[in-house]
Amino acid sequence: MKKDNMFLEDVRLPEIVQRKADIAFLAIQTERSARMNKITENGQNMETETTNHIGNIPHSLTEHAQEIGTGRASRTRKTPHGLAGKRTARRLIAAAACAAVLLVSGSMAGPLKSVLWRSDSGQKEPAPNGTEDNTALQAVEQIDRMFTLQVMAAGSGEGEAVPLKEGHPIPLITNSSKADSWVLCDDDNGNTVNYCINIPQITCEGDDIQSITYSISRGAFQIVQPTAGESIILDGQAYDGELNTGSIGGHYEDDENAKEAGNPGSTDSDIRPEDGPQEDPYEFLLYHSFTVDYQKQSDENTWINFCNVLPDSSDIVQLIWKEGATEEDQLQAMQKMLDQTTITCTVNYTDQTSQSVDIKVGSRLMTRREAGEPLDPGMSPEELEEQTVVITFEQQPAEAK
Amino acid sequence: MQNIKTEHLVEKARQKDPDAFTELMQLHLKDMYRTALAILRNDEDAADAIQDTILACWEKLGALKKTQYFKTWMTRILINHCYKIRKAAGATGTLEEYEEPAAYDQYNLELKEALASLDEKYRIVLTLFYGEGYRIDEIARILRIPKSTVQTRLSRGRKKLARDYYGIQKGEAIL
Repeated sequence: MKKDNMFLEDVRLPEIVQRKADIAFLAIQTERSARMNKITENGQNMETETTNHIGNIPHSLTEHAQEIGTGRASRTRKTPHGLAGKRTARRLIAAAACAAVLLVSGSMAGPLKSVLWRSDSGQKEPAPNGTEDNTALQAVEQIDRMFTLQVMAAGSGEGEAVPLKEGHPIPLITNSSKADSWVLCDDDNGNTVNYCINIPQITCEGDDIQSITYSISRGAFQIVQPTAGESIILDGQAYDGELNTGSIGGHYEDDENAKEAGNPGSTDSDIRPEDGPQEDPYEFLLYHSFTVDYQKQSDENTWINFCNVLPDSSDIVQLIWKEGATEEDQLQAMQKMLDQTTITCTVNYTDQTSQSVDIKVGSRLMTRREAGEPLDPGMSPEELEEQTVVITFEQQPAEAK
Repeated sequence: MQNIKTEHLVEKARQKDPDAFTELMQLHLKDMYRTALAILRNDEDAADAIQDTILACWEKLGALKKTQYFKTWMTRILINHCYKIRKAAGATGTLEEYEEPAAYDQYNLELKEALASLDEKYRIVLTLFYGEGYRIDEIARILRIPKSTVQTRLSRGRKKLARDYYGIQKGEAIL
C-alpha cells in the first residue's frame, strides 16, 4: 500500500487517551495498596491512602483529573473550572481512583475468581507460526467469561432485578408476594435459632452459560416446588440432615383470588371424601448445592430459600426477644446469625469451563420506605420511616479466597 | 527486540508488578488507540475503551498462558470493550448524538476521515492488518471469522478506500 494510506501513518495519541490510561494505571497502583491494607470498606481511609500515592503521580495528571474522572459520567458532567487548590484536586483524584478500583474489582473482576480451564489436557503444542494453536484463542475468549448475578432488591419494586456488585451490599426485597421475609423462631429450650430466608429470584446473566450451581457455606437450601410438573432443579447434592426451620413458599398466588371469586380452587373445602387422601401439591427439598438450567433459572411456583438451625445461640435469642429489644439489637442478632454465611455461584459454560463467585449474606437497617414496603391500610405514613432489618447480598472480591 | 521486551514485561506483569504492567500497556497504547478508533471513531469513546481494557488486562493477565499471545489477547479484550461501549451508547442515545464528535476530537483527522469512508467490517480489518501488522490468520482469530473472510474484506476495503477516500478511479491502483 502506498505511504499516503492513512493506515500506515503514525497516529498522534490524543491527550484524553493518555489521561484516561494514566488514571487506569493510577487505579491499579492504588488498588494494590488499598487491598493490601484492607481499607476498601472505609471511604475515608481509601481517600487518604489514595492521596498518599498522588505524590508519585505526574503533575499533569493531577491537573487533568478535575476534567476527566474515570467513567462515562465525565462526558456529560463537566467539572466547573476554578476548582484549583491542591486539596480539591487531590480529593477529585482520590474519587476518580476509587471509582476505577471499583470498576476493576466490581464489574469486571468480580466474576473471575476461579477460572477453571478443564480443556488443558487436550491442547496441542503450537505450530511454529502459531496457526494451529488455540491457546491464544482460549485466552482471548476469557474476556467473554463474564456474568452478572441479580436479585430482586428492596426499594426497587416487584419487577426490577438489581445486579450484585462488590462493595455494595444489596438489600433483598421484603414483604413481596414472591419474596417473603425470613422465618425466625426459638425452640422450647430458648437457646436455638432457626431461620429460613427467601432468595428473591436470583438470576445469572452471561454468554454461553449452560447451567448455574449454587452452594452454601452454612445450612442448606430449601427448595419449595410443585410436586407435579417439571422441576427447575437439574441436579443437586441433597442435605442429609434435618432442619426444622419452617418454610417459605408453597402456595399459589391465585388461591386467595380464587376464593374471593367464589372458586375454592385447591382449598380444603374443595376436597370431597370420595377423592381419598389429597397429595400435598408442594414438596420441600433440602440441598447442600443445586444446579439450574441457564434457560430456566426460576419458576413462579418455585421458592428458593436458605435455612439453618443454630443450637446454643442464646446470645442471639436474647438480643431478639429481650424486653425492649431495639432494631439495632435485631440487626446485631441477625449479623451473628448469618456470620460467615456465603452462597457460592458457579457458572458452567457450554465449553465445560466454569467460574465461581461468592455472595456474602449480611444484614442492615433500612427504613420501611427505603425497603419499598407499601403503606398498608391502618398504617400511618410515619411508620414507613421506622427502621427494619433487611437481608443483604454482597458480591465478594476476587481475592476473597 | 521489541517482542523480547514485551514478553519480559508480560511475565513481570503477570506477577502483579504494576510498573511493568504500566510500561507494557504504554508500549501498546497507540496500537490500542488505532484499533479502538476503527470501531468507535471518536477519541473519547476510544479512551474509555482503552481505559477499561487496561483495567481488565490487569485483572486477567494471570490467566494468559503464553506470553507471546499477549497482544492478540489484549486486542480481543479491547475490541470487546469497544463493542460494549458502542452498544451502551446505542441504548442511551440516537445514532446522530453518538457520532457527533467532541470539541476536542481534533486528533488524526485524516485517519478519521479515511475510516469514515469505510464500513466497520473493512475498517477493523484494514487497521489490524496495516496499522498493527497482524497476519491474516491472527486477524481471523481475533475477530473470530474465517481467514477467507479476512482476505475478502481486506481486498474490498482497499478498493473502497481507493474509490471513496482517495478518489482513485477504476484502473488506477494505490496498492
